[in-house]
Amino acid sequence: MLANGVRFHVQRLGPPPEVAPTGVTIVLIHGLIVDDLSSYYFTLANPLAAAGHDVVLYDLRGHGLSARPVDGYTLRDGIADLDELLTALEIDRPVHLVGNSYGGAIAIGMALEHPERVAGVAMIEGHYATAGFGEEMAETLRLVTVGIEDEKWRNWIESRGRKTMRLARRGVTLIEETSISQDVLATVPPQESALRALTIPLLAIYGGNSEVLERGRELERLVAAARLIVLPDLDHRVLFNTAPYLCRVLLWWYAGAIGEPPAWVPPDVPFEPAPLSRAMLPTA
Amino acid sequence: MIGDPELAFTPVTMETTFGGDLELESIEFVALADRLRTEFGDRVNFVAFLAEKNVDDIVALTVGDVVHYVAARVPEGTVEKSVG
Repeated sequence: MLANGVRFHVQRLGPPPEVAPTGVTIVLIHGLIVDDLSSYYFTLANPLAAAGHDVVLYDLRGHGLSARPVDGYTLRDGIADLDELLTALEIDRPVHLVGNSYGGAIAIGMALEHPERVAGVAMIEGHYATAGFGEEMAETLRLVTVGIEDEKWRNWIESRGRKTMRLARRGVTLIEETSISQDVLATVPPQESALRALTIPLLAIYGGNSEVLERGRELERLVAAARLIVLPDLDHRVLFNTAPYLCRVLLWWYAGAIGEPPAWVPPDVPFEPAPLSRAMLPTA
Repeated sequence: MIGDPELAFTPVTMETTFGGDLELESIEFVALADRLRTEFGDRVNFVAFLAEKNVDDIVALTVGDVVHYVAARVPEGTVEKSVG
């Protein structure tokens, strides 16, 4: 599907014939570099559609099966891409956005720039643009490119097989052959007053051991209708480690969030740690 | 559907595994599910098929497994051949 001059890979899932549509459209926005819509497709998307929701997934520009133009990777471009995609999909009623990691920054940005488009936001370990956000993201991208040349990290990638190596190479290609590093560096954070003015319902789900938990706490402080859920012992990989629980929470949220959220029961198996943790990467 | 040129000349048999031999990435499984849904409609719900399997099962999934799954849900002679 063509939007904002770029060919996007889009998947749209609806309820099965025997389930009445809820009229709620949910747009799932994935994270940067090694992420794509498959993170949602095999976790949240189908259970949400099975419950009657209209679910839209897309690969961000440069990711997954979408085209990889050489530029256009600012947060503002990401917001414009989503706005244009909704137009191309002929969706004119407000939608519920779900943002995982960097996808959270697009979701919050969309709510600020196009409030008429957004009925609510759910952040899963979501970033949003704060002071220093651009520098932080650019540094993370730099570490990825340095890291793939690092013996320790390279050995880890190779131990995971050709598939992981392809993913890593593609991520490095995106960083080295496009303007994404400069573009994220140029991110202009919104005024705190703009966030305080948000009136949409906002669900924030973060891991207790996550490097970005503070973002969730800030959103809870700034946004009047925010609800923060902190999952103990989890890091940034909340989506990958707790998808069944996230499904229950999101279904509760879209059903009107009556009462307390579903109880969190840690699974018996150990959590898989984040593969791109800063601790694994060289610092120079 | 699989972008890796190294795999272009890999022979595919009923025993070929998607996860092991072809090393399909998650996004390529999405493309496969999409292609199956386009071809066979709601009769073939590949996501539900995968949902019943653990990670080891998915890695070991063979071309034959998918062929048998589709054949069990699509009666012979009910699919119009697509062109191209």
